Amino acid sequence: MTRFEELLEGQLTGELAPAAKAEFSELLALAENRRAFQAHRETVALLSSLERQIPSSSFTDEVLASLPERQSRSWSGLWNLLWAPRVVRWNVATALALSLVIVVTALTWNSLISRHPIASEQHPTVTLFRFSLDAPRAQHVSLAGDFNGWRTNDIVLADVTGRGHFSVTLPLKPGRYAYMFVIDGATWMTDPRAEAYRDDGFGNKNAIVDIAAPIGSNGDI
Amino acid sequence: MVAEAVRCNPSVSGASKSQGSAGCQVSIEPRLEADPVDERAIIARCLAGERRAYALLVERYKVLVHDLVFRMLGDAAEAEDIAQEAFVKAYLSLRDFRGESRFSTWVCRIALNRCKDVLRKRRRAPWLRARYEEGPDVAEVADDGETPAHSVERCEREAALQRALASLPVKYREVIVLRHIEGMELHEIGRVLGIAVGAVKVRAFRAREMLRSLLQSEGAPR
Repeated sequence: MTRFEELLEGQLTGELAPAAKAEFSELLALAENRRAFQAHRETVALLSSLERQIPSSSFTDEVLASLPERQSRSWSGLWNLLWAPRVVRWNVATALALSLVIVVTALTWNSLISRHPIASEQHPTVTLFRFSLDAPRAQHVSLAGDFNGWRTNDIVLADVTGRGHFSVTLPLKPGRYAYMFVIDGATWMTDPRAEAYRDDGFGNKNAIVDIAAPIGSNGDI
Repeated sequence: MVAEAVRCNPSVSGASKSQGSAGCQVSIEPRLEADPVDERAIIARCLAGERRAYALLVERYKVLVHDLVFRMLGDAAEAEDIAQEAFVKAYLSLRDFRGESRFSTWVCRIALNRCKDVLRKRRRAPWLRARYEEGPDVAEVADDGETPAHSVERCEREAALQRALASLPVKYREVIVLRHIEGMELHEIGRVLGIAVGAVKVRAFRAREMLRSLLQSEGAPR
């Protein structure tokens, strides 16, 4: 591609910087360049004059009708339990039993709290999983996945040895997670040692990890 | 190479678009404005199970995707189906969308890949492309402020241009459609097609040369 052709591309859509614009003007001194510019400008004008085809008015509704239900796991069940209308039948015995439970809970609450101060912070189904990557030339490696909304600067891997072996350990609930490493804040890299891969729609693949291990078992990749 | 005709129907077209200026440059209306933070929030709602939230994304990009598919395939009915498929496929893969690019870039790539599948099938089964070989429908041509004669002329011009587009090799057609019809920037086209910006420039230049040559050989109305 000649310099004129390269500048022409920017000139056609008004993206040239002032210096490049001046250079382009100089190149237009050649009759051949002027003819080419005119021809390309006319073609772009013709293409730009095309009117967009509008989809039918039912387009969006038809797309939504084709979508499968995406249940938000346990939350949708809980939501239905709380908000779905239902008839509750009461009797005196049930009311007395419920009152007893409330009174006993109130009396024992403080002692329960003081005896087990960190019980509510522990999650019995979390598995510790170590993500690691050998990247000797990298200055900074972070982890992004669907578990953190693909944010690239939340989870930073540490290079403890100083030899480019980056790692981080995360507590993960059981489930299937997609993830990628981000090298120096710019380059996305698929984990070469992942358990499985899934197409990301751009010709690359997201790494996949399945967390199904019971309490206490640690994985390492 | 078989030229593909298009049925021109102004009653279903007409999205506003700026015309090329008579000066040194052609202005293209910026069409892909969207707040990426807002998009992330919408996607998070979709992933949380709120299916209706996806309608916001479909509404925002349906014209872009539909027109892109139409320009690639030249068939309005097929464009509707393929564009809808692209949105459904994007929804099913939403968990894999990392937010490196805009949602529009992603869904356009999905739609273009599907278009290429259809075009490959057409090459293997040429009779598939025959059903839309119709001329402009004069009964539908009358439009606000436009005489029937002008409408017919515009339809013929658009049909000639669409035939010329259909004659371009796919790798040039997709660049010229994204660049000059959908108004995408060079780097964004590079992301959609998975090629470098330099390659986008080369293809755009060659595509315009080829298109001009095709239009001249056809003697297209201007």
